[in-house]
Amino acid sequence: MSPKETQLEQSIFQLRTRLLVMCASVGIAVDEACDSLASGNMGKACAVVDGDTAINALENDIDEMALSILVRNQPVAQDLRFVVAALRMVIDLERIGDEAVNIAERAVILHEALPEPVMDPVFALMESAKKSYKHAVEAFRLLDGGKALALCRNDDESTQEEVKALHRIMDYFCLEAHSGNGDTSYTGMHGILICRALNRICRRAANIAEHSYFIAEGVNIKHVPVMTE
Amino acid sequence: MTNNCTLVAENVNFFYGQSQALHGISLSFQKNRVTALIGPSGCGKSTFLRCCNRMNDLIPGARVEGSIRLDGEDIYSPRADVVALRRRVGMVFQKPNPFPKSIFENVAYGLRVNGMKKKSEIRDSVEESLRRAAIFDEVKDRLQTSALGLSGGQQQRLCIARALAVDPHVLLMDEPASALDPIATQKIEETILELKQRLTIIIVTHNMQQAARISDRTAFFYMGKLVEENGTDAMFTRPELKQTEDYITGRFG
Repeated sequence: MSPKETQLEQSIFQLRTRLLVMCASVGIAVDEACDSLASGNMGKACAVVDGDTAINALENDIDEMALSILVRNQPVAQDLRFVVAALRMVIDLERIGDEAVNIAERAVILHEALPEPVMDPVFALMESAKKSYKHAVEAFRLLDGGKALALCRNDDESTQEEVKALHRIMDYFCLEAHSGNGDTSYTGMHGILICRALNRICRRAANIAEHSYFIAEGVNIKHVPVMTE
Repeated sequence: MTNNCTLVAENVNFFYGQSQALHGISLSFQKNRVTALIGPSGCGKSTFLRCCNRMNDLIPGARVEGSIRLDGEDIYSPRADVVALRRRVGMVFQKPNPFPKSIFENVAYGLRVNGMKKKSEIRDSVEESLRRAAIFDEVKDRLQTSALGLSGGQQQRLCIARALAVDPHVLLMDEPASALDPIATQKIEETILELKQRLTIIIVTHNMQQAARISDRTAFFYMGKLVEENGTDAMFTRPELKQTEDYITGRFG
């Protein structure tokens, strides 16, 4: 029973490589979008918006590769789990790319529009989103069930951070409105939408972790309450 | 689980002369379930299948140890009636092997051998068996023509009808669709899924997709040993053992 590279193994390897390329592209988009939010760098924000087409194209590529493997090789066991997870993962990756675009489109408007104490919880949420995404990709790259599960366990933290950030923004705008400054309401809306986008990145990252766990362990943990230790 | 089983093999060893082909196989076959036996060529799955209706008795020097019980009765007991056993445990082979007789006579033969004499009874039984094997509509207008004029897929379903005519409890199938085209294979598979409502079916197949499509449980054999047995869905999505995974994913070197 010596290891031998079959045509299926080569196809799976190519699919994995393509997925990792998409993970990297989406990771760059998230980082750049967050940077543009922190720095107000218009160039980075534009690059994220422009780069979304390439991410969409990768989604189509991976879809086709996965379907081709299903048709040609009828994979089973871990190969089947990998292909099924790949088809699910590309959807999450593409949506994370879209959220990065949402952030980038609003980053320049929001930059310096809000005072630092208001933005602090937004930045904390931003760091969580970046960290969650990196952990999810790492869990997938290593097919590490433990890492994936750990990320799923922390899924609620981002929601708490989002609520904290939204409170801070809402409080600020209530005060502004009381003081007769109603022009800031649109800025507030952008702030709220950015918080929503960052939380969605965390949620999608948790989905990627669930897919990685499914590949590694063969157990579907979607919609299953994850026990905390 | 044993109470729900038609056929129970316990610690079965099988020898071709000095050469041991099966090592301590223990396996239960549940009623109204299809169990697929998979494994590389020479792993013992067909040998085991043939042990289940004592077909190996015909091989000089062959010897069986352990027990195989059909509905609680040891089929290797000295008191066991082998003819009656083969009536209760029918078999369909890889290559369709109809008798060089008419379609009708192929199915009626077993009935006559088993003592059925009334023509109307035989006619009804033949029709019912052909219907159960999903071939009646294709041959109803030419029952008196030679079975050898049928296509491969039709011949195989005729052989299934022949096996069904004597009302077996268990049907053993040794790669029944391996020599057939995809359409004929699909018909055989649909027939198997219909038949399991009334029968216990054990099928040997090299086709992983076929095992996944039609069986409820799957047993993986390797070098005469039972490596893993599990529900088919679990077996093909998350096998417990690496050896099984290597085989079903085609990584066996």
